Amino acid sequence: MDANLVFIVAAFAIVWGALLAYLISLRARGA
Amino acid sequence: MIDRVALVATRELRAERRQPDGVVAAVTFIAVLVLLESLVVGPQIARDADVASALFWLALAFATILATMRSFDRELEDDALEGLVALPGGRDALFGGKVLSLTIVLLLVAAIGGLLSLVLLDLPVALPLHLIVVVLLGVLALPPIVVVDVVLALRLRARAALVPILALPVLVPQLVAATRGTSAALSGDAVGALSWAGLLFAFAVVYTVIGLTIVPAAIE
Amino acid sequence: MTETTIPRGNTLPRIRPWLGIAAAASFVVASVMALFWAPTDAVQGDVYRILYVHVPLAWLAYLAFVIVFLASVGWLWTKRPFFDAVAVASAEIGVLFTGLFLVAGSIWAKPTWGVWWTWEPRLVTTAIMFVMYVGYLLLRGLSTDFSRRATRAAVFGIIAVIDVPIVHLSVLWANSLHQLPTVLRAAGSPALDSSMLLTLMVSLFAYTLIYAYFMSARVSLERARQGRLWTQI
Repeated sequence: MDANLVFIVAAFAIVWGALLAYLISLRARGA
Repeated sequence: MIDRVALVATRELRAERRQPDGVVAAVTFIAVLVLLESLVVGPQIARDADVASALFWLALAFATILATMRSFDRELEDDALEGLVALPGGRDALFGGKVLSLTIVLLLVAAIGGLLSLVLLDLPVALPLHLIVVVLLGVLALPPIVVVDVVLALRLRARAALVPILALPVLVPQLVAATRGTSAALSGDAVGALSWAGLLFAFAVVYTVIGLTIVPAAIE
Repeated sequence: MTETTIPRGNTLPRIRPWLGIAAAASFVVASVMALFWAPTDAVQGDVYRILYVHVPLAWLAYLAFVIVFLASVGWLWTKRPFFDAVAVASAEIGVLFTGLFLVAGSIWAKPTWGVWWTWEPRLVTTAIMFVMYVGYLLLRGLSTDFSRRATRAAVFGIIAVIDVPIVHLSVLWANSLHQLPTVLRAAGSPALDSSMLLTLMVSLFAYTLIYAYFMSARVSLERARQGRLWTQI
């Protein structure tokens, strides 16, 4: 396994997490 | 139109002459910065052409922001804005007049502050004429954008914090060009100094045109 | 304020559920391809997969800011509130995408280049662009009057867009005149074989749909707010 796995996971988790958070915030604001 | 611009500019300059605290504050700011610089990084590094130039232009950028905000604060205090804007071509004249008066004030600040820096840091100036040209054009390139940004932020809370955020990123090209040009003039790179000076002139023209085009829309 | 349009909320919601489904589906496909299907790079190993997220986000961030520019011009020209809604929506999403692609790029850079950040022209320009658009949102956030806010934002939106290429050119010029050693390859992306290219295209498609979906939702949210503002007069 790639030693840099932590970087890959971190990058994807942050990006996906942020996009999801924005989506949720849109819903919360009433979109 | 030109006489209206001159009218606004003269009004501004007279106000500044009556209360030159803007000029005094800006020059003091540069002096303090130069002294700090020498103390913190040591006189050797402070005398480096690049370092000295960068700090000088950063100080001037802040001085521009301060001076422009003060100029418009005076406007708000006097409630003079409405009357001036109501005249035909009034908004253009306002923009032109403010930019002109600020340029003159900043040239004064740059001259005094610059001489002060040269003396305090004992900076060798390889190309004095080139230096003057670069500083002149650099100062010309600063006010247009800052005036637009102050106009945009005019009646907002926290505008003292907002204007630097709006203005500084947009000023990066001018500051880069001015710093490189000044550094080149100090260290004897004539070609470099003149190319940066040319770029600064282009910035001055472009941003003045943008300002003149866009400001009428921005001032209510 | 002479406009009295009541926002037409009908057309967008009808498309939106489908847009959402399409976006989600293509997102899943793209992510699977990016993480598992695309081959491991000979030089960079698996870390390069981050680029499947970084590159599409970058493209869309730039697109988003172009749209802010167009919408800003649209508002100044026609004073139709729709344009202001598009401007704020695109700016918000653009800031989000820019922040994300900078972070993803930084995380990719550490194992690849050895540093979290470098003063390479494109990175510097992007950071400045990010600050400019945060400033745009702050300018909006501090304004209360609808029409003035829209105008202020539009003016600054136009200045910001004009400025980004100028900033980039000046940073490039500054670096070349100073002859900074560019140890890092400017492109920094792996040689693309066909499956990598396909994955990249699918990812780009997926993130474009995500942008479109977010825009659809955010614009209609803004239009609803505008409607409430008008009825309060």
